[in-house]
Amino acid sequence: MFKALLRAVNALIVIAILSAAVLTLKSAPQIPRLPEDLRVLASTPATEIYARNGELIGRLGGRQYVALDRISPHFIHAVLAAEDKRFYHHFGIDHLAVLRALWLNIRQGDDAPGGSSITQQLAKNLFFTFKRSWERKVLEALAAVAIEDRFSKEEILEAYCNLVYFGRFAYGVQRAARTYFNKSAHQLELHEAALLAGLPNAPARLDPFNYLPRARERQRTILVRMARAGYIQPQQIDSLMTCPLHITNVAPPPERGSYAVDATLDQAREHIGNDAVTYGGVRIFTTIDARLQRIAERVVATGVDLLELNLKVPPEGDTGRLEGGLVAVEVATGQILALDGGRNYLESPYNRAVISRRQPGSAFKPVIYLAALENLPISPTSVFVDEPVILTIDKNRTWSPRNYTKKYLGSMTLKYALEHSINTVAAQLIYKVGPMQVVETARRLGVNSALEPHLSLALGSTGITMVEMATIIATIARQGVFIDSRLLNRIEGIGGEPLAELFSVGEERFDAEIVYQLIDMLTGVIDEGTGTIIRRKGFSGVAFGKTGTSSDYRDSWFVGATPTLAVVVWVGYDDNRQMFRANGQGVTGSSGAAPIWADFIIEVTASEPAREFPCPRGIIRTYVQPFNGHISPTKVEGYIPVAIKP
Amino acid sequence: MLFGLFVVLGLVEWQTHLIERLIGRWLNNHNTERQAWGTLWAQEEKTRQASKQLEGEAAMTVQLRLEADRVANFGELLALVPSGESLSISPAKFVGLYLSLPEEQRAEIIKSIELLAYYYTSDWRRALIQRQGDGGAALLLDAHDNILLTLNISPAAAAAISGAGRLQRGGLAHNSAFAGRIYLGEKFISYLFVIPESERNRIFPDPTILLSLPKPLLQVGLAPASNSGFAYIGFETSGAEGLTVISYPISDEAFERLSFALAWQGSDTLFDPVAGADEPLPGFEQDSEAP
Repeated sequence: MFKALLRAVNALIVIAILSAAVLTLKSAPQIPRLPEDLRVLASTPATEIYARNGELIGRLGGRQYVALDRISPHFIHAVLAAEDKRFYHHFGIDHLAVLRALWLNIRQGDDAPGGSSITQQLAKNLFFTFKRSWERKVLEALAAVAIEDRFSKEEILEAYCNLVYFGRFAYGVQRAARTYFNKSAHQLELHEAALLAGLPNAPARLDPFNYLPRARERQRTILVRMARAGYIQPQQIDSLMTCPLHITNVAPPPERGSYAVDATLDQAREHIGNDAVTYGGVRIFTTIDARLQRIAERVVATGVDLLELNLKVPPEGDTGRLEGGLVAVEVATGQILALDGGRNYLESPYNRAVISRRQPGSAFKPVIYLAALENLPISPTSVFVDEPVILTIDKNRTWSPRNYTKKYLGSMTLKYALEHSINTVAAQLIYKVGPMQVVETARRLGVNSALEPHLSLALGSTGITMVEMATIIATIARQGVFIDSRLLNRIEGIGGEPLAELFSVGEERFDAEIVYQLIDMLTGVIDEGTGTIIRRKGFSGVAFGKTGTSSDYRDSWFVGATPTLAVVVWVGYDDNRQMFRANGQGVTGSSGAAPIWADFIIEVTASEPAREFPCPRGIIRTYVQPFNGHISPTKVEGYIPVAIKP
Repeated sequence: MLFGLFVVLGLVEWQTHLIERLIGRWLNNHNTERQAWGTLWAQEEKTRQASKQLEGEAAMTVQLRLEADRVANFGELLALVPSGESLSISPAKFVGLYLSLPEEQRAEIIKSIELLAYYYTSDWRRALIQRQGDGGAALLLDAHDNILLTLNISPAAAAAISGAGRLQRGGLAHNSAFAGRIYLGEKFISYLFVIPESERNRIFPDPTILLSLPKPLLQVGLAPASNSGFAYIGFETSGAEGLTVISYPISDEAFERLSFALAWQGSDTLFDPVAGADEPLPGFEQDSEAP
């Protein structure tokens, strides 16, 4: 009986050995060729992105390869404890870990943790996809023993530390140390090293910026393993867990990433292709002004923080944070000087400035007014009646727009109507000029988004991006000369050889005199109308602007320009939720976006000399009674200044 | 017995990783026979391809810049600019092209005194040329790519023939571009005087160029449009340096008309000026102002 059992076991062992040999022989040709040197990882050059003053503001790809002796020993210990405590004792495959994984796999199924050694993980990162399969596991194991045979343990560990992904676009420990702690890999302290070493396990789920408690939990696990492995004393764990973690979002911009850099890279990909941008190591020179960009990021973050503090607490389940964005375009050139697509890039890299199409509300009215001024026999002094209107859409449908205040003021000039954002007058204008004409005007102003030719365009019911809105405002500030807003100036090869020059020149699309009348009307918005918050905040320079609030307080806009800078600010929720203050009032363009616009424009124009919008020859300046349209060449009590084309 | 052997082998493997070592060595002995695939190699291939693509594009841009350095007028320069892109030239080259224009067209672009101010007193480092319809635009940039000034190059300025010709040593016969279209210089001069002025302006708007040529004008050659988009007229003269050819770009229309006239008359001479005055060339209208 015993002999029979022994024979059966022997037979099983022989079968297992033969099967393993066959599997090895069959799989061996499928293993990828190994490189001569693992430092080949660093052979892909980084693409660098520069601001217009030459400051490096972004970097894509490439690896900051550091030698093992330039990595903190704490990190090495933490990695060994976390990933492979018998690293120095196996030859690519840790038998015990494999047996343990097999056992757990039988008990727990596919959810069981793997038993991959550091060498196997290196093989996986070097050659294979992250799809889990037995066939892949065999190839991985064979590649691991080949790596062990070819390279020293130090070379393997060094390559692993430089290759592994820590989240936040940080490949390699040097980039990770910069991203999370703004220090070099050799400067990492014990508690920081433990936190970093835990991240490769699940970089997104353990992201310290978004999920710090989870990352701290993992940090404790690593410290416990380090204690078990003898790298630290068990009693050190609690004190290390109390060490403050200075998780920073003030890492140098090239390591941090930004909305502006993302948008720049997208534009560069359109010109020279994705692979050239990702692997070519090109130098991209942007239009971004580093100073303005920093101001933009700061005023949006603080402005949205402040606004959020005053908002009604969202119902349970609505966890999205209030967001905001800003785009600033140089009027003279169309260059985007600052672009911020959200309150915090590290928390949410979704670029609202270029991707998100939001309803502009009344911020779209300048387009309606321009179409009307261009195509109807009217002027800023023309009188319209603010009253409930019923406009016929077709045989079966009508449209009855209402004012924001739900009050109607009777007769008024167009200038007054635009200053106070009167909906019924904007509706009458689009009804007269026709929605198709408005769409055509929007196209000439630089809108590429799909626009439905509906009457509700008068109230900004179709979504457009912040960049498109900035292009509209800049074209108006340029008195009808269109320049496509852009982020790229030129692209150079790694050796400085020129690849592309991407400057744009202006194209005269509107009559300057007509547009100047609009500028004058919009100047009144800031001086007398819905945008007076800009003056109350302390901005005294020359500027025009327009508030915008989409239906039910879902979007808050302020758009406007000085003679040198067109700036657009948006505030809202990504899930299109309504914005109400704690006192029940809805957030409007004036109370939401306008203060941020004012903060930005006050700071960036502080050292600028005073400038005026150049007045075209055919324009005369006069005064008008805002409710009956009576014109007086001299200043009269109750009259407002107006620029008209006779 | 066999089981005991397995146990011993198992213990040896557990302690020494013998099997992994053997497999590892065997795999490395056949390393070069295996294919270079997987993430690492794919990345290296992409890096290589990207580098090749960028080298090609950079070479093209450098070539364009070299060609831009050789052009004689704005028209030739604009013909070089790829659609939707820009071409960079030095301030000195821009000023050279500007000076080659007739006075009226210079003033359309910018007053000489203003250009002088940018040339000498600003941080103007380069000019970017872009096409716009039949004309173009020039952006004067500083060292940080700030646009100092945007200038319009009108279609008229773009079409104007440059006063600066391209000089080549040797005769027309040495330049294959003129092959089959070489004619006597004196016949060409005679031809200029017999055609109506309006016609002459269309073919050769700036006859003062001829005043600047060293006499005698031996031969005249015509070269069809090349990659630059321009046809050329070449004037062969003889001086202390032997035979030289000075070439000027001409419009396609001028090339066609001249070629047609020459073909009508024969391959080596222009038509008889006296006969031509009485009997216009086919396709050429008789003009009452003709001498």
